[in-house]
Amino acid sequence: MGWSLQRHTPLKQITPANVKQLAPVWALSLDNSTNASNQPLVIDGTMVVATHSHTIAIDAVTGRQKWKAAIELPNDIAGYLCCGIHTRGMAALDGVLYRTTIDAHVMAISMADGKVLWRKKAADYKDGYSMTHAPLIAGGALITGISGGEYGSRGFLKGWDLKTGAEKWHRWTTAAPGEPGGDTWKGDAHKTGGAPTWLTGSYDPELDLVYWGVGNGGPWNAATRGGDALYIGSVLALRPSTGEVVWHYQFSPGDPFDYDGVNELVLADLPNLPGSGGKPTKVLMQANRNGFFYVLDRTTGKLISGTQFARKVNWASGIDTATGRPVDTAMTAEVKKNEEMKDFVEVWPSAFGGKNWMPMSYDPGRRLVFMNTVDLGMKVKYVKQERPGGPNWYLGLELGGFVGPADGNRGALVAWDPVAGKAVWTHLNKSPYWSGVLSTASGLVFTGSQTGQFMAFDSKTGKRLWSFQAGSGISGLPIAWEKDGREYVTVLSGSAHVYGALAGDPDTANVPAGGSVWTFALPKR
Amino acid sequence: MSLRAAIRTPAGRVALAVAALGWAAQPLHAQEAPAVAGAPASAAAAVATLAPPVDPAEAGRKIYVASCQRCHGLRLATNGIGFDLRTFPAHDKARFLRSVTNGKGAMPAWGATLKPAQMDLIWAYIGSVNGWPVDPPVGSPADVAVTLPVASR
Repeated sequence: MGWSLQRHTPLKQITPANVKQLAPVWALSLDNSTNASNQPLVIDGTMVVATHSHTIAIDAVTGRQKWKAAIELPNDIAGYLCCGIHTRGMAALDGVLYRTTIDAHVMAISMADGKVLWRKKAADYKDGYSMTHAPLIAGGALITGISGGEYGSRGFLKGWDLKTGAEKWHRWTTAAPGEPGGDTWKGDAHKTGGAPTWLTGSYDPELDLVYWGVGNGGPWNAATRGGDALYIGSVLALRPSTGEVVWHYQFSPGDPFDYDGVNELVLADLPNLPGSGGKPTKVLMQANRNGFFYVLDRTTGKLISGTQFARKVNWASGIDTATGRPVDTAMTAEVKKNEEMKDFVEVWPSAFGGKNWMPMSYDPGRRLVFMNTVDLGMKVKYVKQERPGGPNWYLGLELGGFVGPADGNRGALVAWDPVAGKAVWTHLNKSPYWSGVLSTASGLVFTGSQTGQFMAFDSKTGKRLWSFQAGSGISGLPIAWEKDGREYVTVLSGSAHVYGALAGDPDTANVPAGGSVWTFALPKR
Repeated sequence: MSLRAAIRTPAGRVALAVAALGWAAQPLHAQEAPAVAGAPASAAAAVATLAPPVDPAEAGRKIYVASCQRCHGLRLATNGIGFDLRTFPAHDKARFLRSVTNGKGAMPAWGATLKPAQMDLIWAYIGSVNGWPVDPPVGSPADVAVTLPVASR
């Protein structure tokens, strides 16, 4: 999908006019009931897919498995995963696959036969670390992040040598005393301060900058940490060869609501932004968990706009473009001050965010973003907590439950104009779609529902044009690819994730788990 | 390294009163118990002696929230990842202990993390949510000094 993470294909064979004929050409069982959130890669006719326990190569046209390589994992590892057992993707270069493992290792695998070329430990999972994201290859280095923000771990990024797996650099994502930002933490709080880097960054080769989002603070309780707690809820712009931080921007200073800043950072060149004199500006865009859609100048890190996209937000009244900081409501100010609170507060959006990790697409022709949003509030009460260690959560709060909106629509697929800062169309859904989005130059938007429907929408109107019922909920990231003149669309089905576990959504009660790969095409003429 | 923690519930009396009604109204808002770091067992027991009687279901709820809830859901209500504990057979505690200790399917092995006494408390919490008949209350104060794990650093 490219370094800019646009998730947009130039392929035009499947169109709004003929999509009704789209049909499955093959399905493959993953023999796995964990969350199937993986984005397949198609390289020279071979599709590669990762689960938490295996790496699998498939003949892309026939759907036959070519090889399947197992990964040895410790039997207590799943306790260290906050939000489902899964592996979201892989990177590939010159016949080598690069992936992470849930027990916080990084591996290089031969694409020819699945043999392990090297395997390195990024961190000790017993300290609360895990890895579920795809590595990024940029500037001649392999870059990985880390998960573990609910366990009181300390976030970091690492650069690795592609050939040998030797560590090139290590960058902590919480600031220690004496460093810039070190005074935004209380005492030693930065040592257990979270700031995980659990989703893959983007890269601008012209500026030679990698953009990587940083997650929630540990614990979620802001008063335990003290101050803005840099670099939680931020984006870092890094030099890929050295890990040097060139600039940073903090979306949610001192965040107490689990508003990770890790959501995908999509790069685009937008014309007609205020103050640009009509010239295109190199921007990065993020639909943040906190409910605001951000457009930043990716050369300088300066905020261009921060616009509410979530239907309901009660933690901030807006983003001050002059200072770049949110304007906290009285509730948020109170929460940030008090380590212990007597009562529950109802916060919108919830910890699931106005949008969760499922990546949006950007159509550069239509200049529209297509994203799956979430509309839920949560009830939380802040309590003082010691870090329990091991596979136990360290939040410093009690989760009282999630609250749905009055109209019962807990999510929406939204077409968003990032220049105007407004929705062009909104397709409401009862259960938020927990799948990535793919847009096509021909004017289609593909995504999937938690109840197992893989769907195509009209980019222009938001009208649902086609749907196919797969075997389980869709947690995967759809891709489009072409072989011998035929366009294919592939997505994984198989949901077992934190929304299902925690949200109490009655509409997902009868969705079975079970991963499979589905590939679709138009009938051969 | 381990941390001795005396688990007390300020809402203990209320919870016991509720117990008589079959644990129908488990309070969601009960206060987190303070952890007494490094306190010797005798001191912990002394604290417990002075404290109101321990409610095993509430002590179990605290462990459940930190270790189990993310897969098994708020008050056992889950549509994903974890087994639906609302359907667990009340008579088969042995199966529960086996699954928790050794893991099963996506369930990790908790045997190295949770002590048998803690598993008993989680069992009591599950029973309280499901409305199972209440086990006899925990007897001596020493029983309520529960060992919580701390990551080795």
